[in-house]
Amino acid sequence: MHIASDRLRSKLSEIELRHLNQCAECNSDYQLLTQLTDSAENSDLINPPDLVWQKIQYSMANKHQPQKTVWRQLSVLAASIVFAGFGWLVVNNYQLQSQLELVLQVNQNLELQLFENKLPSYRQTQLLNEVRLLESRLMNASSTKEKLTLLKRRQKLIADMVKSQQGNQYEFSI
Amino acid sequence: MNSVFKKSYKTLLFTLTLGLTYTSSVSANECATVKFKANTIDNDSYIINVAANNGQPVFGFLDEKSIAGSPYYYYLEEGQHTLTIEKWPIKAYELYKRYKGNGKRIPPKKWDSIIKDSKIETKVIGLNVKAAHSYDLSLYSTALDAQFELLSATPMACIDDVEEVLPAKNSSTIVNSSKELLPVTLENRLRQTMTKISQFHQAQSTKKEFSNIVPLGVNFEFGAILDRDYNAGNIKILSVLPYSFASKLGLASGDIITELSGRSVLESKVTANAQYLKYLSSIKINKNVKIKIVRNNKELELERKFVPVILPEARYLFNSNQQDEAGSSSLAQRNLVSSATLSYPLKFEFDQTILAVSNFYNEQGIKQGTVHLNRMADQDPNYGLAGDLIQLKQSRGLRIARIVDNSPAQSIGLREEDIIITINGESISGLSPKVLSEKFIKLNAKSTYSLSIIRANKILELTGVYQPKVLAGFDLNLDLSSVAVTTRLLTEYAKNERRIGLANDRFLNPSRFKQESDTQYYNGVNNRDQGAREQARTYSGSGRNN
Repeated sequence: MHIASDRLRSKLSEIELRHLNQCAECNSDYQLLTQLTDSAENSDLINPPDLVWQKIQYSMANKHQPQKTVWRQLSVLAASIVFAGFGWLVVNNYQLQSQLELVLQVNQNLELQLFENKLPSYRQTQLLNEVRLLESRLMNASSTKEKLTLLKRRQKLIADMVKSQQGNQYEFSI
Repeated sequence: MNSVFKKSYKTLLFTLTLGLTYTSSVSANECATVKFKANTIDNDSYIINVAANNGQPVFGFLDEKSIAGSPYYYYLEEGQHTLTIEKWPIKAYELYKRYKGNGKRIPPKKWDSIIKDSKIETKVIGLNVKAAHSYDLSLYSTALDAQFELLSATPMACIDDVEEVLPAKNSSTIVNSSKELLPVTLENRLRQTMTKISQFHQAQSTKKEFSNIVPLGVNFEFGAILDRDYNAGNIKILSVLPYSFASKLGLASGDIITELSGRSVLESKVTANAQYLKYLSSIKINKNVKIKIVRNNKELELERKFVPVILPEARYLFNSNQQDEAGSSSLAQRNLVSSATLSYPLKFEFDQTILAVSNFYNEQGIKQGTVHLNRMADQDPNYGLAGDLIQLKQSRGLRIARIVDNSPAQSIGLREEDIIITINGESISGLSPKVLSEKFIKLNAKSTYSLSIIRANKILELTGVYQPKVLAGFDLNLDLSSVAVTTRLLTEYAKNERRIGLANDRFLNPSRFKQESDTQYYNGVNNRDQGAREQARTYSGSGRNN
């Protein structure tokens, strides 16, 4: 076991000195540290360049204005929140628009299957009644989300109309 | 708005010219006299003006004859009539007359104010008159929407020099179907619809007998809804109503309209939606509608001739006392049938059913005269559900897809998506579809029965008294001739390339606008400008839809 390096910088005990004499590795480390310490103590002090002093002064000056720093941090935080919110809205709107496009595509496919007969059947008339009521609400829908909700409900009704038209009668009609 | 009015007014004059050809001269003993009593409503005096007879305009819109303050007589040929009646506040009428009396043309703005500010209301009544009789009619209450009532019908010859007699309609009964039924599905549809209407009237009135006239209707709806938030320059379709003109044209949800009748939407300075509405307003009867669209990145050209759907006039009578075919009352015996407004969904259903029935007779070659359908009250043999057998863990069940309104299935508490597993304790698992159907059909009236069902993964027991649905008895007349007359009128308009303006619509279907403006439904061809909509608010009654 060797002497810990932080211990080499302080005054050594008798046991540590005895180990130092016997352990070449610890002895070498001790010698190196001693030389470094001596060298540092005998070196001349170097005056830092003006630029360094200016930076220090600037740094000190700013430390005396903690209010401004808080505001800056808050501003950065607010900007980040706004940016994140805007980003979320853009992404959310994009997602809603994508969903809307998808629903319209499905509805279109269903509608194109539907327009075959001259007149709607009784069942289709009942479904048409519900479609008309939904569409009257759709006309006044103010958000993409609302449109999406109404169009999805409409989709089910049109799908039922297609099913009814295709003669997919229920096994029981009693 | 002014330009809209001018065009409408020109069309009105054209209509009046047509109207003059439909009056005739008869002797004093061949006609009936009809008199309307002036009325006071909310302290305002109202006069009655007959605007049209059997869909044809009556000599001069508010003729200069002095009808204010004293009853005015109309002379009618013996037989059935459908009269379109306007109630005018005397103040508005006098304003109108002041201009007419001076030989001036009423400025459009003034006309607008007369129409808009006045509580002018239009009613339709069915009259059945005998020659050499006089009929006195009045509103039965002081409410603005009150119906007319017949005060008296007394023998009295017409005056000697009657020149203008309103002709009766061709009411010859072509089909008198009391026993001969329609095809099964159509018969069932008619009976279900009429039963709903009967229940509607019963809920509205305590009368044992109820009659109604549903005026002829012309459907001008286009049937497409735009995405108002779409801002890429073109027009985007959000939905297309099945069976509407837009759907028959070939439009579908998600289509992008790029050209309207050869004109690029993008090149116009007007907004896309405004262009769309303007284009709809320019559509004429029997003329082609041409629209270019982009669908799935492909350009398509859609083209179709615009022919509005015409719904025949219908009259019906429900009589809870009716015991047999020669019951105490029938439509033929009634002198007066007033119009009552049905709920919006119910009217739509009625219109579609009437259209299906008249279409059936048209296909049989019957296109003129009156179809008379008489049905006695009866028990509905159907239980009132539809569904499929499905496999459960250990047995089979009947999953319900549809429940008929007011049916035994509904009254016991069944709901869509319920799964029936037993009837009166007997599992339905091993039963064939035929045997299972018989189990329901053979339930005795007023007998208690039970069903085990699965609802939301829980087994429930439903118990109730089996009460078959009662199908209402009714007397129904469909006037197929009304369609022929209107078709002829519309063809005349089309030949002259006239748009169907407000002034003419009041003869064809006086009340349609109110409903469309109330519901703000569809950018229909005839619901195309704000001016028309605003004026339309003055009209009321029962419109027709398809």
